[in-house]
Amino acid sequence: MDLDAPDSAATPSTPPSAFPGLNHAARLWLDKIAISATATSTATLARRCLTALTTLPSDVRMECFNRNVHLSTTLCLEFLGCSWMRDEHVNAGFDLVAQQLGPTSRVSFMLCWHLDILHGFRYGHDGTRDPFRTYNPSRPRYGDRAICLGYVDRVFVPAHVNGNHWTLFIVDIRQVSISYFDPMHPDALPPADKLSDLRWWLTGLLPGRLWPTVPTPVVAQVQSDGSSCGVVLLSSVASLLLGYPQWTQDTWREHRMEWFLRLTEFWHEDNLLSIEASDSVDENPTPVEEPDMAVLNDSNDPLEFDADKLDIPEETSQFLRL
Amino acid sequence: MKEQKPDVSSSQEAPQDLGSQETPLKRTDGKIQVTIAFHDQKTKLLMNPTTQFSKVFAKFYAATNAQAGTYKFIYNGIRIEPTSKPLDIEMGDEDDPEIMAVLEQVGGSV
Repeated sequence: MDLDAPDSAATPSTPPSAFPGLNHAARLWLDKIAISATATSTATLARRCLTALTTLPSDVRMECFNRNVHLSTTLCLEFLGCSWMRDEHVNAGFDLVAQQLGPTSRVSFMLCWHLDILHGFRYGHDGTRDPFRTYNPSRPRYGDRAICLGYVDRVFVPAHVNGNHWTLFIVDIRQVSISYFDPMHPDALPPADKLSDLRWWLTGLLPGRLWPTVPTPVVAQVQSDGSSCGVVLLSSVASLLLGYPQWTQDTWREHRMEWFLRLTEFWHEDNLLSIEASDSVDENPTPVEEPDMAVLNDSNDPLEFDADKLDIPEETSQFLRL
Repeated sequence: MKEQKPDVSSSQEAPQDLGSQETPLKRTDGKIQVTIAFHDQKTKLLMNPTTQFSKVFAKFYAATNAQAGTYKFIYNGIRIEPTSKPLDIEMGDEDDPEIMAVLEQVGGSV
């Protein structure tokens, strides 16, 4: 198909906004909690969420996250209730944790579709590729470079299993190990195909290692409801890395409200910073040449990245010079 | 390291041309051939390097009878913005660039 050729094919119409319905349902849910909660802190949380709803615009993309995350104000409402979590929620929550850890953090979060992309890249969508060939993309992909260069100690990789459940792989680069966290089945073994793809990827980035599985460092109460796995993932990782309260089944409502507030408040703060930055922008700025990649050292001075000047194992540097 | 890519032109499956049966699309008049892969389905399109991807996505949705927003489109591990163009993401530098379409994932576990 030539996109620039004349064509009368109709563009799919945009579906009607779900914002009014979700907003209404969220208010009902919060009102009920505010009235019936026995703990004062829970009722206060519900009232804070109700206040936040009054200033939440409809169908606006929340651009405070990295460019791979397309969470909207409408989707954010799904935290307030029993909705299942989408990939956008999980990606946004992990990106928030990453931003709170700061640029010097040695933790990396992969996107929810990372394992699917790896699988497609390894086998080919039609199954015609050789699965035993080395991971060798045309260009280093999202997250690859930092792992190759040794800037990352732990990598969190969300995994969507059985088409309806969120779980998590945690790669410990220093210990050269992989652990698996399933909020509902703590003793579950990692899905063999996803584990194999993950090892294939890691072996391509850091050759010569075996990547055995070890027990998970994530601590959380077992999920017994049918809707919380995404929130358990977010809260458990935030607890592990930021010291936030651990998720429990009794506090599932509180955790959902907390995540709604964290994400919307972060977005509002980012908007304020953007407005301040645009107000103080220099009308004739001096053009600055940006390096390929910048990392921060202990003194927060940006270091220009140059793969050719770094002492990297031969096979790794070969990968980076693609 | 030599890049390994599927040979689109010699692929067993016929390129999907969204309704018409033509020979595999190749670069013509400065346009680039883009393949959108979803599972075992490959959709090939010719586009101008300055055309916004929103147009490509709309065509893909129309061709696959899918609701707009059903897929996320990933190129070299990076999500493609509907407002970006092939030039913005250096897509024209690559032979037979392949975009991966990924379905939305939702989880709760019952």
